[in-house]
Amino acid sequence: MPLIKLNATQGLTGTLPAVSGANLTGVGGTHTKIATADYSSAVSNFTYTNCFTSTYSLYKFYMYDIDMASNNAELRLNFLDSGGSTIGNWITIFTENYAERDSSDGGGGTGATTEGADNYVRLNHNDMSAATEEPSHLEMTIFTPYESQRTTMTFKFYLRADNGYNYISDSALCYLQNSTSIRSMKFFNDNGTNFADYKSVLYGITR
Amino acid sequence: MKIQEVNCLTGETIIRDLTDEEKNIQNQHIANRETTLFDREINKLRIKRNSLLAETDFYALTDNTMSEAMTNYRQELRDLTEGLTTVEEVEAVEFPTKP
Repeated sequence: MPLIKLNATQGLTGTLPAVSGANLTGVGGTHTKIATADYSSAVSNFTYTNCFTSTYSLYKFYMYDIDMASNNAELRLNFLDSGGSTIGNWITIFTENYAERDSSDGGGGTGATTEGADNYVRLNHNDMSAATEEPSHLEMTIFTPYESQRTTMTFKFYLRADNGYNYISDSALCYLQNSTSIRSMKFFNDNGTNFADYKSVLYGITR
Repeated sequence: MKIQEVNCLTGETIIRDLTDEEKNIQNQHIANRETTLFDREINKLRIKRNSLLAETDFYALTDNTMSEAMTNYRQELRDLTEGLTTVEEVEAVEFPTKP
């Protein structure tokens, strides 16, 4: 359909007709917000309970502006079953690139690990910074968690670490080694440290 | 330790203490962290050391003559992790000054 530019100087004025959905193809799908969770004081863990249901097969989760109350803490994730028990085991393939934050030449490098048979997912491999102006950010995609399949989850973690380096893990991939239906997820850290800030949101995706 | 719990079915959010089971899980992670702390700390040190070495790699090119000060600086960096056996020793390491 050609685009008509309305221009009063050329005598083209008027109102464009409303576009009907029936005239559009290849359009559709939504991100439906399921829940949000934002920082609350003196909290070291948080859960999204009963967040995975038969309504969606695909989920997107964002956690951003992550600050810890003190250094020396890695962020970790448990997936929970209908009884609230931790689900394992997860195989994680993790690659990262890093650069020194305040270096004139961005001196850095790469790293890669494969971890297996854990009942948790290690979301970053260096400790998060407690500096409020140095937040970290997480993006996750969860495929068919509810369907009693071997769930797959991918994530990206933008880490500002407490060692003066920034890390990006942009191809982290987790496989569940059994077909337990996942209902909930719990975020925590390996040092029992309280959060100082975070914001998060979970979306269910329809096609 | 407290947990924030968002119930996605009811929309209710509560803050509560960890249950005993949740505390046990958390404490297992803390204990595991302690056992691997030395490896973590020395890895951080190596990353910083390797970056500093990389910054001066071009001095080692064959068509360059490296000064004695730079040679010593780079050797001190390479030797930085030798003999370290405790977290306290790692944390006490001071990097040599770049000439």
